[in-house]
Amino acid sequence: MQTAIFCRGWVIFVQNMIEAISLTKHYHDSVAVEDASFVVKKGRVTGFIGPNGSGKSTTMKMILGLVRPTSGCALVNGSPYKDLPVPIKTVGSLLEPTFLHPGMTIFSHLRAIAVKYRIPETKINGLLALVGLADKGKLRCSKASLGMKQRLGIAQALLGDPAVLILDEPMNGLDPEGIIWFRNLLKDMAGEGKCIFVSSHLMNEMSLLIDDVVIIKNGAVVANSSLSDLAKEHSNPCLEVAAADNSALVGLLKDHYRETFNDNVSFLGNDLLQVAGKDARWLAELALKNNITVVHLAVKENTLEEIYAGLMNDNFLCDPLSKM
Amino acid sequence: MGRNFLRAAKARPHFVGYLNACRCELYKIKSTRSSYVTVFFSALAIVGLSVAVCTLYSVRSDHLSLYRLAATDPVFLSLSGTFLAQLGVVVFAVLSVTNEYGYGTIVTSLLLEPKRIRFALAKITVVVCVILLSSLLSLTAAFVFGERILSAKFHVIGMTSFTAVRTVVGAALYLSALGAICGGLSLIIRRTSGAIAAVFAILLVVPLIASLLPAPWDTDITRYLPSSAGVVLVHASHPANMMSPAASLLLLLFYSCVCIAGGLYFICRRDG
Repeated sequence: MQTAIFCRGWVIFVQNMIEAISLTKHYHDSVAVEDASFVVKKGRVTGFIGPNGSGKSTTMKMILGLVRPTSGCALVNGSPYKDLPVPIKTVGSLLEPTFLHPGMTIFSHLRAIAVKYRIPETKINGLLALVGLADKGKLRCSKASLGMKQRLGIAQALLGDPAVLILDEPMNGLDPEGIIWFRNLLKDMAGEGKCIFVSSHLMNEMSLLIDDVVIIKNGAVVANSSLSDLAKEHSNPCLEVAAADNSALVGLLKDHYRETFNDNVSFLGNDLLQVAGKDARWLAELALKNNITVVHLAVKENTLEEIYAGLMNDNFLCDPLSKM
Repeated sequence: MGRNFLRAAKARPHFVGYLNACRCELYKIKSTRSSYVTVFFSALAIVGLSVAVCTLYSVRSDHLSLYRLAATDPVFLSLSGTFLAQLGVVVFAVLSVTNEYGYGTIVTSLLLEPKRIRFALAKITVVVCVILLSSLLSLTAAFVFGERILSAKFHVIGMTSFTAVRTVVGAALYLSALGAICGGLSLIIRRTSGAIAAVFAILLVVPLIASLLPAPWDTDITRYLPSSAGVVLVHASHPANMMSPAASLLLLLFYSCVCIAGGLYFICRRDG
């Protein structure tokens, strides 16, 4: 699964379709992105997560050559975006779906791009059918809803059959069917070996979609790994347990934990106990030894949302803005 | 065709890339309504004003003094629509650039064509070519109609004379240069209102202020303004205190180059 790149007489093998190397962007009075380095692999869906104003869009724009980095560089398929011979055939991108000429129709918006690279009209019609706008070709962009614009943006990104997709908040404005369709589409394309880099605020949606994750906070990358590695590294699995006689179980746990009881055991509603730092087998055996009937025992993994929240709260030291 | 195209693309990738960018820009212009409105307004202004002015002159020629009759330049009368057409040309050229910024489509355009100089040059080329073609057609029509209306009362020169070709082509080149100047300035200013204000300041306000200056500064400055170059180019006779038609064309070329160079500098330097 490696791509050979011929560059100045050298053959370089790359597996990372997008490579950000110390990307930094300073505006005259603020820092948008500070020393962001990460890689996005092919054949995988990579999520790009961070709070508002953390530099997600700026980073994407730097990768796409729209914003000039103060220092550092970004490579797509081994070369800067500007040096790609036919950019849309390598990278499809969706940055801002509302950036359309209101007087042009949905079809003519795509046609303007297609005439540039001699992409046949049938391809446009096929894409419009794919994104569910087959009968909307003649609609003016000013009359299109946000969801339609988002679908048009997706069609635009796919127009050149690119190997890399860079999508900024593509799920905004899509209806539930649209979101499911879009998720399956991205997963299928990743399965075909394409590299998909997608930013979003919708954590639960992202956890269903992505394989890898890049988390950015105040312009600094705080995590870049696969979702499963991230879960292993940061998760703090805890047990959810309920016994026939909860007070006996609580007494047992109090004996075990003594003064740290309050840190490790908490009461959830409906007579449910939450126990941290132990595995299910230990608790089951403990209950069995003491003749306590366990009626419910579950291991609760942290969701992406919880890991994300933890990362956002802990890493104040990495915060470039707090120094200012 | 595909194989030939590939071969050509290998031989001159920059030129082919530039042509592709031009095709994209032409399609954008063709698929927006405002470009039709402004280009047709210019054409209508050129023909309409010419017919109106020439008709008025031929009707009122008996009332004019001999001196005024001798001073009347029939070529200028039939091409006078050029100055009304400026309005349409300026709006067309400015909008074709500033709409990209206003609607944010500049992002898509720069994603499609990350080589910004190529994008900007393609845009200005297409705008100038559209203006040149449409104004050549309408100016020729205006010239023919105007001469026909005036021929009863004035001495007219006919379409085939050198002066006729010079003035018609000159007027078209003046409007095209105006398009290039607008394109360059719009890349610098990026806002429709600001760019149109700047262009009309150059075309209308600066000449007015220059004319207020004490002699000989007024004529010394006025002769180097782009609007004066336009006045020279549409006259068969040579207006007093003005440059020659050839020098006027060079002056317009100079202004166009300066504005385009400024535009290219700013589009490369700024973030998209």
